[in-house]
Amino acid sequence: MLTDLLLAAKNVMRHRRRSAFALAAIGFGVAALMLASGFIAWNFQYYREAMIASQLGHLRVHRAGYTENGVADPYAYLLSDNTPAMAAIASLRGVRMLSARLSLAGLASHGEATLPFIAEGVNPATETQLTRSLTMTAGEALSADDGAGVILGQGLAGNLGVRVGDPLVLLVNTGGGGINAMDARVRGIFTTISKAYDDTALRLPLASARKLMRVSGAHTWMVWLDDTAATADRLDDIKRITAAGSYEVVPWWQLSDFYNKSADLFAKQVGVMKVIIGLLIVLSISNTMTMGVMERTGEIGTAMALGDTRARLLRRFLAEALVLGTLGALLGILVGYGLATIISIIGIPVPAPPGMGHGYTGRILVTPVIAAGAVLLAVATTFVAGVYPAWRASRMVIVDALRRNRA
Amino acid sequence: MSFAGYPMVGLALRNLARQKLRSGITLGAIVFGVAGLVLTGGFVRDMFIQLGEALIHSQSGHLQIARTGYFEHGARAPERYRITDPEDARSLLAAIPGVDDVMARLDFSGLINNGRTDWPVFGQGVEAGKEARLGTYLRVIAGRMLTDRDRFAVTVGQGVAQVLKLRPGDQITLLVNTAEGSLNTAEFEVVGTFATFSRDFDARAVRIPLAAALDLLGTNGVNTLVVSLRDTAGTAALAASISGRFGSRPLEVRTWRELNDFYEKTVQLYQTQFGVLQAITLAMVLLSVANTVNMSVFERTGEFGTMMALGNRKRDIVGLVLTESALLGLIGSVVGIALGAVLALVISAVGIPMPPPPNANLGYRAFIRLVPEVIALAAGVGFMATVAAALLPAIRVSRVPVAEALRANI
Repeated sequence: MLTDLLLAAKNVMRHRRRSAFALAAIGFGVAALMLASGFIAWNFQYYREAMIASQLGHLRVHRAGYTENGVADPYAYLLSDNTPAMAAIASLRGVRMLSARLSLAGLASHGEATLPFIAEGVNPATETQLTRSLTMTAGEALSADDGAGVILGQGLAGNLGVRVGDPLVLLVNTGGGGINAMDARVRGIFTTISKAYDDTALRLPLASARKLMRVSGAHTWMVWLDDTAATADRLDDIKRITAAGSYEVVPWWQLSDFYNKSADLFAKQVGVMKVIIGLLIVLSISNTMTMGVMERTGEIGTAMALGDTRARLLRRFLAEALVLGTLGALLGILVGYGLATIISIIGIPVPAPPGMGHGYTGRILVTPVIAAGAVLLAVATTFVAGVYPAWRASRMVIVDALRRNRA
Repeated sequence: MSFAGYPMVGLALRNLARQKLRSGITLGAIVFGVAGLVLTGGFVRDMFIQLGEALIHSQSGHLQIARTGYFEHGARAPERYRITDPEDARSLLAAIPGVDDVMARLDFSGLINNGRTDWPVFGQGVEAGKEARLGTYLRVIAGRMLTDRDRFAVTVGQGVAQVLKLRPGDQITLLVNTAEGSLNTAEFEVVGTFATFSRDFDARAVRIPLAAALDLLGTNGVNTLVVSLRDTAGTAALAASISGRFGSRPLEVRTWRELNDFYEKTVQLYQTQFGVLQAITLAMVLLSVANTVNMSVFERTGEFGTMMALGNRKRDIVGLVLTESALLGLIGSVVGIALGAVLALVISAVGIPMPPPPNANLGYRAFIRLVPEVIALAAGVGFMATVAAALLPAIRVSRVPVAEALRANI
């Protein structure tokens, strides 16, 4: 076997031009697949992190049953503050922040315009780092010192016709069946990744929200982690901590309908493209390999005339395919990483996705898994593509093959 | 070249026929490349068409006519932007050829109450029978659609039903502002739950019969006249001709593209994202064709040496190689298009099942469209790549000294 590999390596070296063509085909293939997959992977990651930072949080803790019935009956699912569970979650390793939120829905009035809103009372003190992911298009973010200052989604502000500094009246149903109102002032206007959300979204300081609803406590503890990959582990930790009480813990992937759907669809659509690119790579490599072996018919005749068995010839050509495949894949990885780095530095300008106020700069994210996938496809293709011509070469009639030397 | 032009083609053809293996392999590279481009381009186009049809048939119709200013400021005060004489506008529209149907909608926003809690909704009073014909993408989840016989019935979006725990047969109260600014309420019976292409829409949408909406709001004007056309492709032209016929009426028209910010944005985004993938495909095809053409030319160094030894000049060699490549490119492109078209038809006959798009509830079946521009581009790329790829090796091979080139025969 070792002799075969050695001979194969020597053959690859000897047929410099043919090897170069084969290496080019394999290398291009690997690089192309890496770039395609890497671009797709980057897009997914970008969406995910943006959604988590601006809206979802990595994990959410509610009263048990809140997800099912909470919106219809918000007053029955309040979490009390300062419980041991809350402190235990906040002190878990990898938890960047825990913040309480209160959800409420009602009507916002300015002048003659009255529109429904869906609001969240957030804690300005703890969420300052995150409100940055809400892009403020005008005014300032929430402040704990300004109880009346609320921020509005761009769509809601536009429809109400309010600007920063304008007064606003917020009207909600309270738990007792009465109505409560509050005088607010527009402190800022924001956009998130989702336009639909911006059309109805309003945020106000947690303390003001509690006053407006006449409750204490919160509906949700939002938990943000340092690393998205650790979500599943922390989910288990939090479930352990909260096992005693009636809580429910929801990870981000159960929340983001938009993310899940676009991920599913995009994966499928991109999958079709990837299959086509993969097929082109397979065909291109097998094309080059077939040609490379067929051009060497005369050489094969000579080898057989000198007493090489068919099995031996087959083995040697397969060994050559393996050597070419491995070298080509290494070359492809280098080219792929190089191109990915260059393209990422320049950036691909991507227009604003639906539901997002602004465009972004696309990059290419090459993970080891992506590189390994590309290499596997290329080496396997090269090997398989080597089988047929090698088999045909080994089936040749010696005299015919030898005659090719004189052609 | 000029004097040798015609014999050259014959010679090139015979060369191609003689070098069966090399011609076959080069053709393979071109054919697969061209077919690949036809398929990817057709697939991307299909995504745009499918999304557009889905939006037209679930919400917006092809065109909407409204009072001037409604589309800009209507969300703030729909009651101020109503078409006061809908019947006049309706008859105007119905007379235009290509218009399939015209239906009126009346918008309102209000609160719906299930006895426990309120939920803000955007409601529409609709002509049930006509909407049912337009809304082929509206899917009934529970109960049934509105019909022309319903009076105080409501269908609610899936999201609304979930939030308020509504089932067919439940009673709800709808609270709205009337035209004069006072509040009005009415009781409705939930008859069904629907899902559209947009989940955000479903979480806020309710539909009631137009007559009930007119009553509830105390008006006889409507907000929009939704026009469905026989053919989506003619939308822009018809929109222009319609707005020409308004005369002094304070009306404006919007096409479904203008109405769906979502669509334009998705198309733009996809064009970039899939553009990158298509660029990679294109590069792959170019390189693969160039690789094969290159290889094939260099393998024939001995043959060209023989030709030169027999007195052919360098430019004859270059001309011959280029003619051969051009012929290969031509044949390869034609076969590639044929293969791509056949594959596209076969795949389309089966369909590729796709999951629901973002903001949507319904999956769809993807096809591969045969797009003239894409086919032309694919053929152009196949042909140009082959000829361009042959140029450099042809020149290089023709520069090899005769003796050395001949030695390649041994």
